[in-house]
Amino acid sequence: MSNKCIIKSIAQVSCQQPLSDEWLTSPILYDESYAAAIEPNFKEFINPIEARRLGRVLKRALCTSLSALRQAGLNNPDAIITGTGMGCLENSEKFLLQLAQLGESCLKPTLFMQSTHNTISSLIGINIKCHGYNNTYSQKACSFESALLDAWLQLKAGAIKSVLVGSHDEVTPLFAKILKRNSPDFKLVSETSVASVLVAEESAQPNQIEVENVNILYRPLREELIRHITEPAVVMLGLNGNESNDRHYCELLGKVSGNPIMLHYKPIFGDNFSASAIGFYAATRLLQTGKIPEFMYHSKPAGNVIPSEITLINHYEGNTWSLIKLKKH
Amino acid sequence: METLIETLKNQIIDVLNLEDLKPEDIDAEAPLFGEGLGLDSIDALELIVLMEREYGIKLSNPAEGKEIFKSVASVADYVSKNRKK
Repeated sequence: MSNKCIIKSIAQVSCQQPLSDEWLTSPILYDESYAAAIEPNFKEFINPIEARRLGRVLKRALCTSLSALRQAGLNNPDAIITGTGMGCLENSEKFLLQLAQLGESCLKPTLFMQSTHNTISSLIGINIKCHGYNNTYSQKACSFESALLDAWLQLKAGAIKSVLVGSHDEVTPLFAKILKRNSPDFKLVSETSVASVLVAEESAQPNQIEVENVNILYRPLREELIRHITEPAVVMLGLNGNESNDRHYCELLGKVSGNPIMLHYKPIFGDNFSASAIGFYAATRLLQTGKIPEFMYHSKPAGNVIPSEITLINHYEGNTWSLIKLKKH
Repeated sequence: METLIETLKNQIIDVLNLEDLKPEDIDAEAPLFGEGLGLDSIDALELIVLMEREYGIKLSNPAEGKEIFKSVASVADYVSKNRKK
């Protein structure tokens, strides 16, 4: 386990400008509680004949994956590991609607084929002709972390040298309506597609960002959780404006020593089952640029902060906790 | 027959998500597969489902498919002779 896990490249599609870092200086602010993702120019990445059959989440996943691979100068990674909470939700909805309207005969085969969760990862594999390890994790809001942990362990152990890790979730208007009905105080629900190329290096070069540690804990004792968070200077939290969600972070941070600077990302990027992946993307960009925009602070300290480490902390319903430590060399 | 060909062109565009095409862009005599529209085997499945759903035609003999799906005109010809609804 001596290799270092280095972030070679990363790309996003969300409710901010796609495949761009414009949000760092000019974030788009939403008054509504649901914001769909802003679509990139798909034709730059996908043949229109091929694209016509793909649902939105599939097109976004291909765009972010191909963009990350291009940035990394890599055609074929050793593995593709994908997280998704809801998979191809739009296709699943259409398929079920047809099932209700037309019965079990005469259903569209494309919707059936492209409504499974692992369609995303397999489509990327087929597109780039990658015959290596290909796996999908669907663990609600911990899907990205599950995929990242698998990638991180394999890179550290030397089982693979490079990996495309991503997490992709779409939110249909119907799903947004259901979420709103169940949790009326949801501030912003949106969509996420993030892909990143990670590579194994024996030692890190200056300015490279390393994934130093990944932990997933299920129903940990508070003391156990705190033991994993050792005096972080900067933490990035999955605060989304819901009291029932945010109180878990407040309780935890109240007990963590060192009075860390608290950042958030969901007010800008919205929440969904892949939201922690966009937190990972945002933290990477903050470390690379060495600047933290004002709107990212949950608690603003006096003076400028130049981050060299960020610990990402997320939880799902207070039960599943994830801790990701990123370090700039 | 002209009306049926127009209807079929619209249905093919809709069911195969050929968003960039208009009915007038499709030559009724041009091949559907390979050249022409360049459709593939998954599209063939979609067309078989379309035939059953819209016209009550069940294609039981796969060998027939090659001739039936040669072009929009050949599909229209087969539908007009075999439709059950």
